[in-house]
Amino acid sequence: MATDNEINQMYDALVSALRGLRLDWVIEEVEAQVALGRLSVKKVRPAEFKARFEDRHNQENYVNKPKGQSLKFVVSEEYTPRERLMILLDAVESAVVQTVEVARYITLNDNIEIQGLQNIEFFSEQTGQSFRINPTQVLLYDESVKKLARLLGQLRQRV
Amino acid sequence: MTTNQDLLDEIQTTLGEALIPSLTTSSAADDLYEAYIFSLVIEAARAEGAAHIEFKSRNNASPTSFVFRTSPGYLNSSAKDYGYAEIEFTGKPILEAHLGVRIEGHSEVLHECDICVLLKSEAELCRLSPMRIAPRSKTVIIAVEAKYYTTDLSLNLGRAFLGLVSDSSAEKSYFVVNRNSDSIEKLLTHKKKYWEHKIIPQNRNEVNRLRSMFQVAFRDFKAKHRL
Repeated sequence: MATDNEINQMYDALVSALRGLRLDWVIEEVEAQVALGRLSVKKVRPAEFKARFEDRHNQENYVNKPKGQSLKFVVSEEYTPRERLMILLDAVESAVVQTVEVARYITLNDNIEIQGLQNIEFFSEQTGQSFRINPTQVLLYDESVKKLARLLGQLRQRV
Repeated sequence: MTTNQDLLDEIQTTLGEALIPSLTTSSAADDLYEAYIFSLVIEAARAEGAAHIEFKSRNNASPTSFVFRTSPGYLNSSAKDYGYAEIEFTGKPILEAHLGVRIEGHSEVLHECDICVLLKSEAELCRLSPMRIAPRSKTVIIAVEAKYYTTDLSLNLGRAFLGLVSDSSAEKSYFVVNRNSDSIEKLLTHKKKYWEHKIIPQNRNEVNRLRSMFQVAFRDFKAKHRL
């Protein structure tokens, strides 16, 4: 089992690799989720804050009474280093492995009507840019994608 | 036995080899995903007994290449020979399935619709109009908001979908994502809206469920237009 320090180093190394491949958008999505934290609904007892409330209502209800009220709040807790790395690994899987699987489904699935078309082009009127996908292109990356999925699975098990 | 560092190095190398150059941006992943959901809508129409499904384009009756919009547009746009699917159920008004078109809400505000199925009569009016007009949402039988994210989705996406639905007269609107989002799912369930999560090819249970939802929309359309 890797230590927190080792896990943080792995996280940083992967983030650096993603930046090198211009996958900054993946890092941004991961960092947004990490910043949000792990959310859950919990009972909070303000009396346990051991604070002097300025608001009289708070002071009366949560400190002055012997059994202060408890309230339900959505609480955000920081992810552990291991959880943060798992979020990143899942994100890499979504961005690379699953994207190719979706491309594969559209171009190669026998049940799909659209598969009879030779080329699929995606065009933006706003930018004037386009990209294409076709079955040959998707098949070229098949082995690497499967290998990546396997390696990500192995790393998950290790940490 | 390989060390963690060796494994990490191998992942970094393989990452570069697995990336299809045209699919490295967030927008490309989104666009591809919308095309995938579009294909599920077509499958649902076929499963519901569509007598005829044909891929058409603005200029060419039967295209060999299919051009999808990646930014919302108008049906009469000649920027590209955009493709769409024509769907026909026997004895019913003909439908068209499109990606990335603007539709008009109650408030006369235009909304972007990732995937929509609407009456051909309305689509044709908009396509042949010399002015840029958007189809009215009351002629839309399926409207889909499709989101592709690499992490769990933030609540603002659910709120945006609620805003769209509140201003739309589309028969059925769906929020479809590739991942989980507990908060969005809770919100949309509470508001009794249609949604589906974890929609990616290997999640057959969820994909079948979504396809069935689309099939029900086609079933209801046929029932509504029963003579």
